[in-house]
Amino acid sequence: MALIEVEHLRKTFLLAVRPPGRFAALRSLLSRQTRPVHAVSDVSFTVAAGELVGYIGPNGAGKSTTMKMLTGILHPTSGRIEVAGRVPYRERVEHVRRIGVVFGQRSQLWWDLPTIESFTLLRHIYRMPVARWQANLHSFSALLDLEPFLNTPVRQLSLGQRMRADLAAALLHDPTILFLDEPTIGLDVVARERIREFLEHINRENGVTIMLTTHDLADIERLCQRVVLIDHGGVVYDGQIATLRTRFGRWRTLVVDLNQSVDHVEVPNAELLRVEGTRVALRFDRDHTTAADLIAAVAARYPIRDLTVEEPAIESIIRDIYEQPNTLQ
Amino acid sequence: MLALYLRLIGARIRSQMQYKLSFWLELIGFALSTGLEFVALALLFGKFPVVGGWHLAEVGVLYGLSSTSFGLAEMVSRGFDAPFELMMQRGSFDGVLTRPLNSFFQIMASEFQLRRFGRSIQGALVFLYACRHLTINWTLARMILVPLTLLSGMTVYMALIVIGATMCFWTIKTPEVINIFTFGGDALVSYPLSIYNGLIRNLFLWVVPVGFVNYPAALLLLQRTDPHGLPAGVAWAAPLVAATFFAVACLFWRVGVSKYTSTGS
Repeated sequence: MALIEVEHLRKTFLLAVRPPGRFAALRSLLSRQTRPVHAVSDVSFTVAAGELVGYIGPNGAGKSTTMKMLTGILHPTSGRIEVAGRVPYRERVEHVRRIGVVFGQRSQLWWDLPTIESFTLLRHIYRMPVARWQANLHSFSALLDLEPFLNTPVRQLSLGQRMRADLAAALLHDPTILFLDEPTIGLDVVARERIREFLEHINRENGVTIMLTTHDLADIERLCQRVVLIDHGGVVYDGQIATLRTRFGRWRTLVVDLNQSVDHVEVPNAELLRVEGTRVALRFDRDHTTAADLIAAVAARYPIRDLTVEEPAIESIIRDIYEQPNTLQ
Repeated sequence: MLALYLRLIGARIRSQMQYKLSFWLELIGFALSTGLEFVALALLFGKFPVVGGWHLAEVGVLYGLSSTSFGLAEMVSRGFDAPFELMMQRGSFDGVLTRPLNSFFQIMASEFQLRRFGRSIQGALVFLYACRHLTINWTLARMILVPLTLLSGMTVYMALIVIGATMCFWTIKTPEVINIFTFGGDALVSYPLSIYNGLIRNLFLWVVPVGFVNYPAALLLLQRTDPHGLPAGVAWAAPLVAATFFAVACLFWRVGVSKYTSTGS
């Protein structure tokens, strides 16, 4: 049985519509006109124990809303959710006892107190045995280098430190699943890498199932075997990253350095992207021609000094999908 | 549960103590401003020595009971007040729902406003002062009645504050209308309920039971009879009325939480 099961999940918000014209504010108090907004219209997927799944999509696609339903914060309008055999919103307390949640935008720690005090309070809230809690704290301190700021009030931590502390706080009670909403937002490259390493570690070594949303596709490429891509409240792709690349990344770019500069290059089955002096970039469809054929065709016409074939970045694939949702149908 | 409550409140007070100066300034400021309320009441009695057949000292009993219990309620349910509104605006109620504790308990344990105790101290002083100027026959029953009434009053005011907070689930901001019943209620019951018309009397006894905070107990303590026939014995029903009202507030809270829509992203 899957650890997370989501079936035809839907969440509709009713937005108040303010009538136009004079005294609009006053009238809106008397008659509340609302307009339905489908934040999540039809989402289904399952996650098996031990997976590390990236849940991605453009702004407003419904990522956070789905995460909030999975964590028991929001009640779905319709559809079915089960996480570890529990319906999150119906058995919220039992459900959240076994999950960890990190919102990148918002700390869950006690703002004015030293970091260690938040960890201590959490021990009481989750009724953790002291020995187990200490062992966890010790292990996370080592992995995330928490020691230097355990006695610093949370409000004085840097963003990177705060995020590390929040991650530790979400994991101290040994959750089986960790939900992360934008865990690397606003962090510098070094801090991001550190967080990624940590997530990889707890997924592999501790067997924690992880589901994360992110706008940083490097997170996805580095961490996730699988992505669920959503747009306009529905799933547009669910599968391996590698498949996403082969299925939707048909376009390759051949960059050749010629012996002399040219104004224009024309070869069959390829589209000229740009010419910069002696450097020429050609785009080709892998389904129509091979890199070898194309190189041969170019070499037959122009003397080549050097060349590279560029794989499509996952980022550009996903951008293409966002921009042309029908490429998937 | 109580141990956890004390621990969380302790953490909150330690947080407040991080800003020591502001804490003391607020405490003193609050004690002074609430103290002025009774001064205003006393000045009024300089002009009209008797209101609805009640003298200043007797009204002091009403004022003292209501103020003390209102202060206690404000002190422990501060979490449902302005900080909760802020929580709703920022969407940080999300965090509450990801903790394995009842959300009501968490909000209750999220804030504790010691300075609101200023209102209770001031109310208790007025009550004691009034008792000294009255001849009250202190039987055991009457002595038990006072703390019981304070506890019931505190419960009624807490329920009102919770109801106000719950409205945030629909309106984001606590509607001002709730202040009519908390601050307005406290001011209203500082005078004998008998001076108001039937509609107000019934509303504040049987719908929003702020009347139970002090009036029936004062009738019993002062051995007065209500001109409209309310038996003084209902003072003993105050805990039941308060508990019922509180249960309604808790139920309303549960509905509110299920309607929680969070904020974007």
